[in-house]
Amino acid sequence: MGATQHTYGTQNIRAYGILQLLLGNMGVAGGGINALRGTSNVQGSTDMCLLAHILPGYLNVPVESDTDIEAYLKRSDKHPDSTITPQGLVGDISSNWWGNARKYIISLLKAWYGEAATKDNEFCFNYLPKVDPKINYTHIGMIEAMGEGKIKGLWNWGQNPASGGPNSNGARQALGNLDWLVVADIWMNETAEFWKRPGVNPSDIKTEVFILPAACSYEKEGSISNSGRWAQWRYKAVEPPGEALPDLEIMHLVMLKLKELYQADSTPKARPIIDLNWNYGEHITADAVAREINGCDLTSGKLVASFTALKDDGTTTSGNWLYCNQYSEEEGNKCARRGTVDSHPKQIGLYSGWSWCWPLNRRIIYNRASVDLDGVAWDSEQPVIYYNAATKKWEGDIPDGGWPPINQAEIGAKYLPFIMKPEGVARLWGYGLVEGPLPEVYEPWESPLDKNLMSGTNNDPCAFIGKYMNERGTSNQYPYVGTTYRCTEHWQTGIMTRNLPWLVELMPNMYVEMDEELAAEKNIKNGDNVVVSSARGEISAVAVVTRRFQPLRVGGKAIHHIGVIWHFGYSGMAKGDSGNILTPTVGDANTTIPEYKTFLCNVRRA
Amino acid sequence: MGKGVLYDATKCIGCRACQVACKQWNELPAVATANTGTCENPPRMDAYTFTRIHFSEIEDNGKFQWVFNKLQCMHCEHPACVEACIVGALEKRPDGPVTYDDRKCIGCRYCQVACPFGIPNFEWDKPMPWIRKCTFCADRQGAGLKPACVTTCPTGALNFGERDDLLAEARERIKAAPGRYVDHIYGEKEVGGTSWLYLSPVPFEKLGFASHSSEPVTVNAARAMGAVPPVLLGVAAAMTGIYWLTKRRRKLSRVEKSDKENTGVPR
Repeated sequence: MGATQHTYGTQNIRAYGILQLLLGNMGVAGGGINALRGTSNVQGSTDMCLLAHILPGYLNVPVESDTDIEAYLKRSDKHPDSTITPQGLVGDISSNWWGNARKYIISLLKAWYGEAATKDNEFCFNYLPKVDPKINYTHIGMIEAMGEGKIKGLWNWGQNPASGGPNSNGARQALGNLDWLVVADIWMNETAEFWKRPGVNPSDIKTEVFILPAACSYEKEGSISNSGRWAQWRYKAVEPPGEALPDLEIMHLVMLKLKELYQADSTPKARPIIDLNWNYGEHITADAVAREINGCDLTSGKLVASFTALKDDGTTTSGNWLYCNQYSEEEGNKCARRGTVDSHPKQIGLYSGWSWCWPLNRRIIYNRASVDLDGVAWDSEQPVIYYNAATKKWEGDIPDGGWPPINQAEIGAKYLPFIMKPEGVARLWGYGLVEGPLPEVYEPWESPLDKNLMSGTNNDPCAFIGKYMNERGTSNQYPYVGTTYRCTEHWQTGIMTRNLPWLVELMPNMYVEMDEELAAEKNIKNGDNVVVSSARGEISAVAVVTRRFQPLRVGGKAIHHIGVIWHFGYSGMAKGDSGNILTPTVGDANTTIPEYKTFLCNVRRA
Repeated sequence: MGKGVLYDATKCIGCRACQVACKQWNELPAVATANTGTCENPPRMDAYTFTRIHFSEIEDNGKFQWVFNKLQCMHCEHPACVEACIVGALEKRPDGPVTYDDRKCIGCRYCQVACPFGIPNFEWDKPMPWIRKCTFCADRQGAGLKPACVTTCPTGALNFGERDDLLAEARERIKAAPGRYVDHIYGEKEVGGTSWLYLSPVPFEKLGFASHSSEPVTVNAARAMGAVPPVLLGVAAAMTGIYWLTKRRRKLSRVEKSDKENTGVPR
């Protein structure tokens, strides 16, 4: 994930994609690009639309110009990489799977709005919020808007923007512009306590803060999805303490109250709330939600077996088309499966009976790229799939589309492996990224170099640059390169780990790492207290001087790095300064992921 | 034949999950620490820390390496602490662990002096101190479980099994990848052999391992005691008896108290 945390992060990942394609490493055993996620359920969060630009199952979020569902479905031309119904190249070279998007969005609307969603009202399409394409709705875009006073209330769920996002001083200041703030977390965190942080007078802050104690992962049931797309079910081990509730139950109670409050409201704004399909009874269960996400056939009342059964006429529901098949009438909740036998005929280690994997329990996507035109695996020792010409069946993993191999397919169904693309093949020369079709080397927003040694353009021209309390440093004032990362003992902003005495014992203080040459230059000895500063602020930390850090020689110049962990803050048992006080409010050109990995800083002995 | 653990320093990533698992199983409190310029902590073993990972940044053969090694009681085949203990509180069990019985201990701390690895620790901060050290999770082993540190190790740096099998495994690893290891299994012969065995990518002395001969460390407690004038010995014996009775009484009342306090929550 660190590769993404640059202004050109998406282009970094695209370079990996191109490399793997050129090596023929897609769809094969041990191939692909396997993201090391920052948390256990990042995949689940994007699958289920925790990001601002997508609905569940990677369907587009409607924009203002999507005045009806037809406009929404047709808008594909403008964003070919998030194509919904691509025009042009279809027919016998690609199954062009996004062509089914109409079925998926209508089934989703039926799941959300139930009986209120009819053909005549476009299945309540107009209940969906429409975004302004000119506005950045991501994390740092949101903090910027808060800083400008455009956002009045924030519901903060298991997040800690006061030290988890970039430019913590800015984020903390911006929180003070809110009228109200709700924090649902398992511990008091820096966001919940921003109004009494060091250096501020609580009476100067008008924000009303509400705390909702939440259950931790061992105190609730549900699934998490890993980066291999396995949705694994977890059971509750212990009851949550005190008044703490699972997030799902908190959401449920809030929704019931909202429905009650809007029941008598006859204005249009009340309709999406009144009509929301919310038949969970007194207490909601993760099991009921899992069934709803899978979806059902309203004619038979039975769970749908696959997204191929979803229809665009309002007779099927599905909360996320990719998760159709996770729950079946026959097998129940497949995410809870714990099969430890590898049923793959060549024992390549798929273990397809352990949990469930989207789509359709297909363990390796694009697996049709692992065979030739006759369905013979390129890698005969570790074949993911192969076509048995005698039985006319695919064997091994669930194939990425069950059609026969191209040489044996009927005319009109000679489908190429990259089934989500209208052209059926992967894109070396790709369109859809804002900077252009091929990755290019750029310097970070703050760079120790005066010019890009690899290209005529210094910085990513499309990067998101924050305006709120976001000073830019120069290499004269801040000659060293800071980079943030984690230590093994603490997790994220440290809220789950800085409150555990055994982990605090292992890693008690905020520290930074640097090379011996820089330390000698600055008269810093190992274990000294130091102050690290950037244009945004400064932090105190213990210096760990180590040979594991070495200066880089770039363009004849020694470039020193300072490694900064970001787990500390003013809340909890072990306190310390937050590494993100130093980082800038700049984001990747395509995704707005903050540039945590490179910024300019300086260091001195405290 | 006794059990052992093979610790392979080339597989250890220094995550220190073993340190936490040890504290959790043994219900040991966290100790107050500070970062002194290393990721290593606590700085030393004491009555509340039975194991820790030592971090070394080493230049060896022109190659810079960050190497970790795990410290805990070695569970010697011929333990000096057992020989030194005049009341038989320490015992080498045939299945591997060197165990300690606080009902027998008189607090003389000869074991601390005798141990060639400096392992036994004394509860200096308690009015009724006992000796504390790694138990090789003898209690877990009795229930058919592996030691807590081995169970929690995410990389397979710790292997638990029959000592003989582990020695064979260690030789196999060195043979299969001679460039990866120094040709030495620490604990195979040192002090007459230890239940814990080590493989390392760098010479052991660079990791701070003491160089020991293959002779067991001998401690003749009876002879040492014989040098003390008999009168003093008589007084010492009488005082020891009183001490023992007092301690036993206090201990019983403490057991009763801790039973009442036991809420099942590890503290």
